[in-house]
Amino acid sequence: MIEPSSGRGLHIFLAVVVGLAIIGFFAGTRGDGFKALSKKGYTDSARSEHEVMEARAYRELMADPFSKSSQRDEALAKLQSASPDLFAVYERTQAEHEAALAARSERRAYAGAPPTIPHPVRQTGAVECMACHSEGLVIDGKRAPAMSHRFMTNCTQCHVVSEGPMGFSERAPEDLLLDNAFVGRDSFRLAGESVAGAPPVIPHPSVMRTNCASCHGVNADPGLRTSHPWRTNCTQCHAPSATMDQRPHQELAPFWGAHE
Amino acid sequence: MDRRQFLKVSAMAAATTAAGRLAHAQTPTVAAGAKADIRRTGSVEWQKAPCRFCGTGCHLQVGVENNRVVAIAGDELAEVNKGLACVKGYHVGSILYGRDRLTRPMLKRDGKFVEISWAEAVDIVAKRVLKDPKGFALYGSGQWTIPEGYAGQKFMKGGLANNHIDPNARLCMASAVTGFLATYGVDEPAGTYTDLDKCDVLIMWGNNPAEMHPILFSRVLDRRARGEKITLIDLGTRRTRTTDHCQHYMEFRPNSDLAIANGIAHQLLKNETWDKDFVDKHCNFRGASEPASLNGQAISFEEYRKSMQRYTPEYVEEISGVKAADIVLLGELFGRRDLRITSTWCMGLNQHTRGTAANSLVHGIHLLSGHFGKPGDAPMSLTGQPSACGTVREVGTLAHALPGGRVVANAAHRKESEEFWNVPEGRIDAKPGYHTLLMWEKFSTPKEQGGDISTIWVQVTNPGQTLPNLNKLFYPSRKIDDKFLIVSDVYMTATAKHADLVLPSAMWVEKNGMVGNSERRTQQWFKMVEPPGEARDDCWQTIAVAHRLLELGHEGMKDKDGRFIFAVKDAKGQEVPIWRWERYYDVNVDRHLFEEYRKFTPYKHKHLAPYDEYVKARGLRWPVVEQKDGSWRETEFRFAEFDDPFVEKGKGFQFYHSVTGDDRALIWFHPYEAAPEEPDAEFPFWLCTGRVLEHWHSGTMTMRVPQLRRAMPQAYIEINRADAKKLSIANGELVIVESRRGKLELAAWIEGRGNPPVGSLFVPFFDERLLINEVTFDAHDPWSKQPDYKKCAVRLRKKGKGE
Repeated sequence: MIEPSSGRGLHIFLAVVVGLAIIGFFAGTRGDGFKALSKKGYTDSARSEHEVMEARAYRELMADPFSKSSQRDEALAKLQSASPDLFAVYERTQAEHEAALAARSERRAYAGAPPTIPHPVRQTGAVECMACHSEGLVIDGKRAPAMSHRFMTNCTQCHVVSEGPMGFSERAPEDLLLDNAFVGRDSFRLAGESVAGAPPVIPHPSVMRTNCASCHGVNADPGLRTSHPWRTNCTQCHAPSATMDQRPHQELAPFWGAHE
Repeated sequence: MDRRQFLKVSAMAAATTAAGRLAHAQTPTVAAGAKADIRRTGSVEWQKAPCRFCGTGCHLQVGVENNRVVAIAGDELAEVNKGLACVKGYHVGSILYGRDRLTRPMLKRDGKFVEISWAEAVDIVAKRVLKDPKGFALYGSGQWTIPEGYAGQKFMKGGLANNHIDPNARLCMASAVTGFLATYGVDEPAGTYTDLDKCDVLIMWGNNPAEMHPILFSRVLDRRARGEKITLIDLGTRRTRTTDHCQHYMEFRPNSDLAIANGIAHQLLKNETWDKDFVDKHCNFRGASEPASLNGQAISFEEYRKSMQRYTPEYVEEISGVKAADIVLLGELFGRRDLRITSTWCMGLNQHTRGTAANSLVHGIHLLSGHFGKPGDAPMSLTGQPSACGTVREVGTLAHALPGGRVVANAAHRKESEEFWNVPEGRIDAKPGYHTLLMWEKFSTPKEQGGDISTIWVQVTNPGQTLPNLNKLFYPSRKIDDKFLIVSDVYMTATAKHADLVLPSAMWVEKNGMVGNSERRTQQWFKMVEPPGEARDDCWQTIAVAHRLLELGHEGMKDKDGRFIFAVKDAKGQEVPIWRWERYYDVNVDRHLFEEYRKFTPYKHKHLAPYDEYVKARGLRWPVVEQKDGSWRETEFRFAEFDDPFVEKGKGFQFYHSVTGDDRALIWFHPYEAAPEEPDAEFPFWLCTGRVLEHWHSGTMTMRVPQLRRAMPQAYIEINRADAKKLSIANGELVIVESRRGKLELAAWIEGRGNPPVGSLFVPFFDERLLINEVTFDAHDPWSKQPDYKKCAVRLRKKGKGE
């Protein structure tokens, strides 16, 4: 394309390259052609265009690599869901409930198993987990539930990623069979009301589920949400179920370390 | 009758049936003794069982419905885990249900496995024994339950008069044992996990508990989450998940941990902050002897001090790379009396050619500084297998040992054991058998060249994946005539594939069991579901072979009175033919064997309670001593007067199995020495191998659990970013790692789970498709015979195009 013998072509070419580089330096790699590297299972069609934030100009980065980006703040603001109305009238359908239970069981080996993580994680540390899961939030329709259990920091001890921890795929899966016939205990079911209109008992063990709002609060899946999220003293009305709770009925062991 | 009453009555009915015959598959048969405590939620029955995997010893509640495990919950009554489990524990139920479970005995004919009957299989094993009685070996593991290991031990040493029985624990905690023996004269930790709840400083020596003992690590992290102040120090050769939670990370050059321990001792001596009172009353000093022996030679305190003189912070920094200031910091911490310090370690100090020395030195600095024997002040060795302590170390399934801390070389020990077993005097051979490495080397050597092991029966372990230097120790035997490999296992493992005879085993809650964890806690569970197909208990397999030998006229299978050595009588005094599978669960064989074994345990003050006490408890920590009111009391802190019932009043501390016979523990001096194979120009990298959170050891079970497999699908190699850059290696690219012994192709993972320093690599060993033990080194500790999987020299290159 460029004749080496004619220095002119080369000069024009270099001028274009330098010019583009200068523009790029000041403008950054802003563009609308760049889309998220989508990985099956982690994305869905509902993802909006602002999924991937625009990159900042190199000029800005050089001045202060960790400064706040106005674009980022703007993008985040757009993503954040409006505060849900605690007092909105809400009634769930049986179909919604079934769908929520089905969604739960997809990420659990059995009812009561720790859920797997449906997104990539950093391999070490818990700071990133806490950013979304300590309080819980909804961003762009994606729910990050708050921890349902007491505060613990070794998250990956129980929760592992659903797939692909390394970002590259397994080389010879066929050489080692993965075909397991384990069938987990089905989702917990509502035990029903003892008297019409009475508050239902808790239809699942309460071990590791002390934060009711995690699954039943105002940000919860519609199929599991309570109709009255403004009430927070749950066990005032909802008693643990004697038939659903497999805990030993002797004296309960104290919680961690509380025995000193 | 209202609904509540009905439930109560049906629960009672269920408990009653549990006492009788196998009414339906999920109810255990207990011919006599305590009953299982079964609870119900709907149609699910819940019972306790310790987790199948590591040495932490968590108790789980196992939910069973229609003869299948359907759910798992942490057991809230368990002191170890207090209701929590790790991801492996929560998914342990799935290990029973891989579709490729072994269900029929199989014999290799013309290179192909053909199904045979159990009667044929048992006959083949028995005839291999008869063909070459002295060339037969039994290779087991720390996953043998206590009764399984005890049966193997009695069968070999008390029946066949053959000491070639050794476990994979030789590869795992043999140096911890020799460290305890050299220091206290008796094996296993003085402290317990309670120390983790009480310590102010936790030092992890080459230990990554965030992944390998997550429950114990969480026990510490949770204290911090509750607002307690605790200083975590990670002494490691690579950054791990543990590092992230620690205030201090001190990265040392492989093998230099000995220099660090000596550096701490040096600081204590220099600053005069060692505990003079404790040392004066309770310690003696020892140094290495020529020729080397586990007892070493006595040295004076002045000699000890002089030996330590050169380990100045600057000298230690030069050797180890740990900053002199950090050595000073460690010295200061140990010098303080107001802090409680606990050390933990596992494979880092054990899989070490200087493992015994390294273990002894860590005990030594705790003794020297008096950080011993108070809650929170303890050197705590962790184990990797559920019964490395309970079976291997206590039952003594090692080539040189007899149950209860006895050894074959000691005539009095042999005599006592023969009495307990009621076998003729002189039955037990005085010469130790082959330890693991020697056993496999002899098996891989032709008979005419001295390879006098002709048959190995492998139970509950996977040496074809986990032995070091497989090209030397495992594969050659497969090409030599008349080397017969028998493997009892649950899946077609890397070992079973190479076997001549494969026996399908029952696992975990498909059988009764007892195990002992890292903190001396003995645990029990009942069978809850039927094993698949014709899979059967390992313990039954041993007894069936023993009985077949009896039928074939082997005199060793008879005791002094001419009875079968495994004869069991039921409550009515009738002998039950437990060698017939359909009768095996007519009695609780575990209970019978355990009660027999229990007689061995008081000798080294490792008293165990009767079987039925363990049925009620979530494990008990020995010594378990009967009280005046008939109750049984466990012991949290050995050798300390405030808790150990065997310490004389007024002594404060008493090391009552002291090597020197004067109730004192030994503080050793061992110098730092370079590793036998260090990186050089040709092989410039260190290679370290180990585990990951999701997989347990060789991955036989966990690689078949979907949640665990997907979370960690294959082995990889960790490379430091700088090294990767130099060799133009990107994440996920294939590289070839090669040692003087073998090579392996792996995908690179840069700044992934762990991060080794420049010049250092890490590969996990769980993947049977990618056997890193074809690359590792079989150099081993001279005392413990434990090999070093943590360091050898390798070279690394990017895989070429078309290669």
